[in-house]
Amino acid sequence: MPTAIVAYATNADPDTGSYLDNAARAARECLDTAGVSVDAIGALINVGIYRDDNLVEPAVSALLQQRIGMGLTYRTGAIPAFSFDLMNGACGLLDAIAVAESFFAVDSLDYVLLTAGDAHPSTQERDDFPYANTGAALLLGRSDDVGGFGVRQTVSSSDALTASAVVPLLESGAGGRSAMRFGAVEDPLEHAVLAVRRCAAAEGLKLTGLTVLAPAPTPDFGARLGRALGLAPEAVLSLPSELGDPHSAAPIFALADATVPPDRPLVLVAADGPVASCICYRPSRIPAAASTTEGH
Amino acid sequence: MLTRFESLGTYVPSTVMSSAELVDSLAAPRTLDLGAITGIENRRVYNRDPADYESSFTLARKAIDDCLSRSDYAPEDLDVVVSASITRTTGPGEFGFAPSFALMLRNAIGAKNAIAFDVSNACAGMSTGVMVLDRMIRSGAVRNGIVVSGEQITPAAETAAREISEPYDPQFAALTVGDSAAAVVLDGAGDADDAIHYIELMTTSAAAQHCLGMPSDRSAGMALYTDNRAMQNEERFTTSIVRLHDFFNETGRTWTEEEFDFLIHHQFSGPAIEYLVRLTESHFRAEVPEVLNVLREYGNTASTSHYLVLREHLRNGRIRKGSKILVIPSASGMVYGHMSVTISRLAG
Repeated sequence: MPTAIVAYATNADPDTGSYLDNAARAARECLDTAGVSVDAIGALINVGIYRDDNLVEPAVSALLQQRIGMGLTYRTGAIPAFSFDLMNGACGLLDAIAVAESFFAVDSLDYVLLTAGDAHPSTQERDDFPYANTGAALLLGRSDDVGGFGVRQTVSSSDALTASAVVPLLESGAGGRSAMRFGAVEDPLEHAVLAVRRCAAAEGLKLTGLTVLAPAPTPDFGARLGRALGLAPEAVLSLPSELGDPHSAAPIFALADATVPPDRPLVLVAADGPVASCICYRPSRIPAAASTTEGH
Repeated sequence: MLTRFESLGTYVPSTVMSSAELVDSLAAPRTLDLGAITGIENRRVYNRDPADYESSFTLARKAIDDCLSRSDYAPEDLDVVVSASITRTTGPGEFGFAPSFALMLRNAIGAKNAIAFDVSNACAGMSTGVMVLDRMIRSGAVRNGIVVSGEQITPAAETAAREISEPYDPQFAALTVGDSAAAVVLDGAGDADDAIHYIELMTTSAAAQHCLGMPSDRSAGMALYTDNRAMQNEERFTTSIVRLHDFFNETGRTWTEEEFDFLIHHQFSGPAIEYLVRLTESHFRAEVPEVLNVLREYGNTASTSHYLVLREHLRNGRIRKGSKILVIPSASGMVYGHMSVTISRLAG
């Protein structure tokens, strides 16, 4: 049975700069929208990178699990809840979708909840933080009414890499909980272009038949991606510029902002320095005769 | 389809620090028999020499090299690289958040065809990586992959040695950690004699805030703050055993029929492991197989602990071809789980 996007929610409440606050609020709203009980969720995968206090243990997912009341304790007969952080910059959400699909294929899960977003570790608005303080959630389930996801395509640099976002513990002294140093990263445009081309080829689709949901590592990224792919401007849906860059949550913000025809395949794109990913999602079931590739 | 461990590699730094030496280094002097309280006599600590500095990245790289030296797969054959450590240091006091550690490692070893991402799940990180990779292989998404963890975690013990001031101090548990790295290749070529029969993990989040790892707010460095009484008690330990029993019932298995040869717990405390074993015996009303440990010599090596136990007891010949092992993760979060594995190729 195909994997379906059941619901999504975004949160950028101005009363908090905490990732835990933003992501937990988004997760609760997402479940409320779906009408799905927190007790029905088999797994929570958190893909946010920058978090309150530069916390590295436990997984942020466990703290979010606690905040939304998911699997606080275990008793015989309950669905065992599992959670972990998956971290891959802005591309983690698409990796998590692929992992969720593997869980659905092997385990008897009904729902996987993904949380995304970032905050400066100080939980304050900071000019030196290149991303927007946000949280978002995406609930995945299974449904015969959708075409589901295709294979996630990833293109990355094979050059030797050094860390581009670092907590400089020694020079921060007692201020390490609110320190993060950002270095320059490469332009991910070429990787994103190649990923989308591979995606279209793998799905048996023409580029002109796609609606591309573009991220915003830079404000003009969507326009540049569209031009490089030769797409009509209306086929590339960019994030509103006033939002800033929601980084690991960008695909969810793009979904929330987009108005797309339900019969048109969407391509969710993520791009972050040395790596870019995309994944095709068909909101409608593909008629068997019209399908050129195998659904799953 | 069954997955299996195709190869396993580990690396530990050569510098040994005893528990007595560590206690002697406490800024606020204490009379404390750390070895007797924790069962940990020694731990390995990273090389501080700038010319040969052992960061999380360096340690991980060495474990991958050890692992691939026994693998039939070359780096370019790998479909996935998963890095699963708590610590992601790249140099003295440099803790990385981007890009993914897995991508940096992938590029360093030339696994150019692999997708790469990190998982983070406290001391259950490698177990989480193995579980995720097991599902990816069994679903047909990938054919194989490597899960690696390099833990340069003793800087948290250095912070504790500087800052411990209370009789029941939240940084006490940080004195148990040791540096280590492990890597394991999984593929889908398992059979009844060489397989991960099952791996399941669960997070019960009511106690999620009782062990926090973050930079100290009193001095420069990472710190670990643990409320041991809230975290390590009978109620928590029993949760793990009840879930294992329910899993047996759900899948038509019994403790006795599983016929495990060995049991490997997370290496967090000798007395706590003994207590867990007694609770397990009492719950299943059956004997528990021989428990394999390495904590006396290596301490709590965080996410690498079970794999270091496997490697050390393969090396000393305790684990032989055909040995069936129950691996029990336990981690902040709280994360529980169980993995049943029959070892064949690793002992070959």
